Amino acid sequence: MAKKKDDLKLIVDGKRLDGRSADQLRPVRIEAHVLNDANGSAYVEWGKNRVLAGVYGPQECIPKHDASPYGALIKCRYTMAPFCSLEEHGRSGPNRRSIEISKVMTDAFKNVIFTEYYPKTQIAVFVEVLQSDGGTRCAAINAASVALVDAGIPMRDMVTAVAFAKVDGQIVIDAAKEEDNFGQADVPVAIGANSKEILLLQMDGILSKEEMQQGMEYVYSAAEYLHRLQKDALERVFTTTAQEKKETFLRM
Amino acid sequence: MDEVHATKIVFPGDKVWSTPVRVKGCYVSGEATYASVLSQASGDRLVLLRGFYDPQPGDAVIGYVSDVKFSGYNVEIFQPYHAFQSSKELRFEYSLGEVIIAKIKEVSETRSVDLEYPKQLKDGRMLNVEPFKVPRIVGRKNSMINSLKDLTGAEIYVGANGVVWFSGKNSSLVIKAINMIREEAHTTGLTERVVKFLQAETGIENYTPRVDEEPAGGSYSRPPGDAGSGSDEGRRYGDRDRYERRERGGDRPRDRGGDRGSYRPRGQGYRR
Repeated sequence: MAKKKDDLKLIVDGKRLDGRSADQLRPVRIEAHVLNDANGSAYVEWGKNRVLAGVYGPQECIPKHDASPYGALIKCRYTMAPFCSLEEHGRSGPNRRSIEISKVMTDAFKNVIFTEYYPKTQIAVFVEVLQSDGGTRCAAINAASVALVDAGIPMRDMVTAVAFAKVDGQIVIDAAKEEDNFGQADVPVAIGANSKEILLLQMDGILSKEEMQQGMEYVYSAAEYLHRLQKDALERVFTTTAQEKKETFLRM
Repeated sequence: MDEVHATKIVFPGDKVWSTPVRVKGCYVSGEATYASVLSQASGDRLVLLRGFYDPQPGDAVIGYVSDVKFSGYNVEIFQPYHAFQSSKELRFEYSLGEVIIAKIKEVSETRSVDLEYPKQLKDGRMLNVEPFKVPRIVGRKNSMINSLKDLTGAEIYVGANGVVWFSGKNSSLVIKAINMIREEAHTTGLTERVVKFLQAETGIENYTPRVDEEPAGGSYSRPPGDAGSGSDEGRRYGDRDRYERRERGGDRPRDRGGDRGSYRPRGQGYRR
């Protein structure tokens, strides 16, 4: 974690750097079914984050010796575009961080997908971060969840993800890049939208039990709102006309 | 489009019914039924808006011969399942790339498909559509497919795996009509609109969709394993779950699969 400059105050009078309060999310926009050739796809704008997800499959498992007779293999691939931020990202293929995020995404979705319906196949989930500003793994999971539903993969539940953080000694939801870099802790959480099961919980930093409880309260209420947005995006696929879809695409 | 709003779209994890009902696109947890794929629920019916093809014995599928072997033919059916047509009791020989329509004889535990009664389809074109939209292309009591055939003069076969094969002079019109059905598959009153469109294109007047009273007996144009019209027969989609339960020996706890608990050595064959 980078050294915090002494004069940098992340929270002033209860307002954060971008003017949000502690329990306020950045503006989120979700669009489903944005790619023609993928079985399912989604696009998420989350503050300055831009994330595109595509789902292919169930398809023939490659390499073939990986195929399991017990169920489909889920292969998530999180990648950052080289142009997604000012830092070095994605220029030399997958790195430690993107491999880790791909793995935790796979593990989160393993819990909700009925993999046993499709033995000896794979379900490929590709997530590309086009622009990043902190919290991309949560945006990626939300996008992938919508894309999986759009693809028609049978799932027990939808997945919603959001992070909370400790910034200037205070618990806040959905940390942006500066808050993440100069804060004391960052906790991305993915939960089953209906079951409220915790499917992903990573913690970077130290928190007390009370702080954790406070953060989880924020997460549960934010997840409800995000789930609504995910459902609205999928519903719009069927209620908008072709012309409206074209205009939506142009706005992106 | 008004009817779309009259019904409710349900998402994976949403409770659909408070009683346990085993239909395709749903799962039962406790005493209630929850959706597992994006569907439209209206009353006691559930119409899938997304989904994949589950091979069922008796389904008619269309594919091309992708490999010729001593014992038979591998058939590419555009699904993640391996399809095989044995040359035993076969009176014809096929060669690479030939398009055939065949019935599914058997589906193994790992969803390998054995075919029977193949018939070659010559001089036509294939179009891949989403398998869950096949019931709309066929229509209630074959009304849609009959309208397509009558108004375009084309010969059309629809495979349950989502392959539409057609031949005739009016193939561009067939493609247009099928794409129209694909785009509006979730709406009601579709047959009337497609008939109107085809009448405007062809100039044929006074046409009423012809319905077949006999269900799919021997005819390939409707997959025999299918109940017919998707929007009207939502409840009939129970076949997969029945198959599942029979194969798995009742409602066992489901977490025996996956990458754990594999007490059988790998690569030693999975069939019991």
